[in-house]
Amino acid sequence: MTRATLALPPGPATPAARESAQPMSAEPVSEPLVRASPAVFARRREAAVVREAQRGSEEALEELFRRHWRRAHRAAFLVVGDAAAAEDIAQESFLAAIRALDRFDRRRPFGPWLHRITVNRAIDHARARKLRAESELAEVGAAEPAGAGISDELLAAVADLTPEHRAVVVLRHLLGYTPGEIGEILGLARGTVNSRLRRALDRLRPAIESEEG
Amino acid sequence: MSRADRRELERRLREAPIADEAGAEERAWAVIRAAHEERAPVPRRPPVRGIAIAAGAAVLALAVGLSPAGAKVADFVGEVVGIGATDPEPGIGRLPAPGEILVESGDGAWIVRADGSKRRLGDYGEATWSPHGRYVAATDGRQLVALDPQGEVRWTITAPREVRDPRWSGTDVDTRIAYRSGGDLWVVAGDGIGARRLARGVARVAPAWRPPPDAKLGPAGPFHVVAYRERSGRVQAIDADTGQRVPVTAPDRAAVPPLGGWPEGTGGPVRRPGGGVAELRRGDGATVLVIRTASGAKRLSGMPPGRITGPSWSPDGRWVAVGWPDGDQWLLIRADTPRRIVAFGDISRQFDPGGGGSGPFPRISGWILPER
Repeated sequence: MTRATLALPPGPATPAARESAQPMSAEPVSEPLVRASPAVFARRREAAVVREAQRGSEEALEELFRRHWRRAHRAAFLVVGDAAAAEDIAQESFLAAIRALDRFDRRRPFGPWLHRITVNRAIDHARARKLRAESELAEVGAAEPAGAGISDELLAAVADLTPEHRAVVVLRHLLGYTPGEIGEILGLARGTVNSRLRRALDRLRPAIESEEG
Repeated sequence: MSRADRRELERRLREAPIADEAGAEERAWAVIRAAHEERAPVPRRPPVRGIAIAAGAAVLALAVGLSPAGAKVADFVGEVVGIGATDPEPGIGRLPAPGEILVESGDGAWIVRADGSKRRLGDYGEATWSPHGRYVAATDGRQLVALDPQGEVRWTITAPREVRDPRWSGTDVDTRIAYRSGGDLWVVAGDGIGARRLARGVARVAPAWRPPPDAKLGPAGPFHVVAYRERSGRVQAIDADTGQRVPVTAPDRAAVPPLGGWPEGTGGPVRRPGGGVAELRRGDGATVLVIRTASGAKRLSGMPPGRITGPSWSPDGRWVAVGWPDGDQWLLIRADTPRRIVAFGDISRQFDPGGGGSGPFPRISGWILPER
């Protein structure tokens, strides 16, 4: 495979900046009249990376992967509570995104697109696992409950939430989306997102308070 | 919850330890890179038409979402994707492409011939064609059964526990059947000899054979590689002849169902004869049939409301068959241009002639041009 040389603006300097949450909607990029803000700069750079990846650049693909993998993987892990399953879900989500890359609209940020795929797959997986645990407990045996790999009390409390509640907590408090954006990602009304968030945080509060006490 | 509590929650979510996080990233990158190398960059095309079709489909899906079961699905699909409208035929007529369809129903396994006639093979479950359509493998409790197309039993083997998900693959002269029994993955040669366990701790989803390598294209790898999912969720690939694990490829991962099976209304990529795949996906509450061939990718939006099963390719790679249980129909959709649709109705009673057709909706297991 030919490796294209990238001529891109420099990326954000710190890992934190590289992993900052992306806004759900983006305006079409145009030539700036004034110096672009870091967010606009990062968005424009990502559009350039996506364009190069669409053209077949492995280097651009790797940049896209490194920029988004950890947060997608972590989101999947926190929803399913199982490291191996999270790895598969994040990997399959990334594969799905890469397969559809040719149709991706570069004016939109890549992160929310990937997160939509990942979190919805993670919810499906967690639901299926719950059903399986109820219907096939005797034979499967080895199936661990969600969160079996989590020892932290607060994270265990997160794992005790339903998959739907875990997902809104992860989207809001790990990935930094607004309730309206979460509604778009999960196909829910904003009010439903808000009520799920409120209930989830109510259930998590005792775990936080007991750790503080 | 106070702002400080929320900040603490966010910190803990960011810092939650994940076993072998770095290893997972490198493994994933290896798979993504391999998939990217397999994907040839395609020329850009104006997205306007595709978007317009999808938007139109979404509007029509809302409009037709109230259609009664058994409605003229072809009208519906046709309006959306430009397929000529056709009323569903009562029963199964002549197939629009050569070949025979293998069917699993509550009443057993059936074969539908090209002229629409049917033969019941017997009270078997989970039937699957042999690679060249000369035989059928099916399950009967703890037994794996090989039948000829007339329903004559050629051999049976008995497994330790119930047999599930048989999958038959191989070359002209050397085939293997992989199947699950209990929590184990087994393999047996196509003549019923040499059954042996390949792996333990296998998830309750079907294994998937890797297509045999084409020796003309270079050094041949193992001929019988089967991919499966462990109970942990991880996909593994194993050489069925040596019992040795081999590196998992991106197509392996794509072919094996996730834990719990494919989500409702979706399925794994189904390989098209001659190259390409078809895949059912869920998007915005509706099913989308995605067809990818060498000439490009198509998304056929506007599938009828409710569950869609399949898909299966016709042997000539021109038609895709899906099931629509709510409408009690099979839809045979022309995949290339011009697109057409053939709808067969009253499917449940077709494969339950003595009953009321109240069992599971008859599923197309495979459509093949037998080499007999």
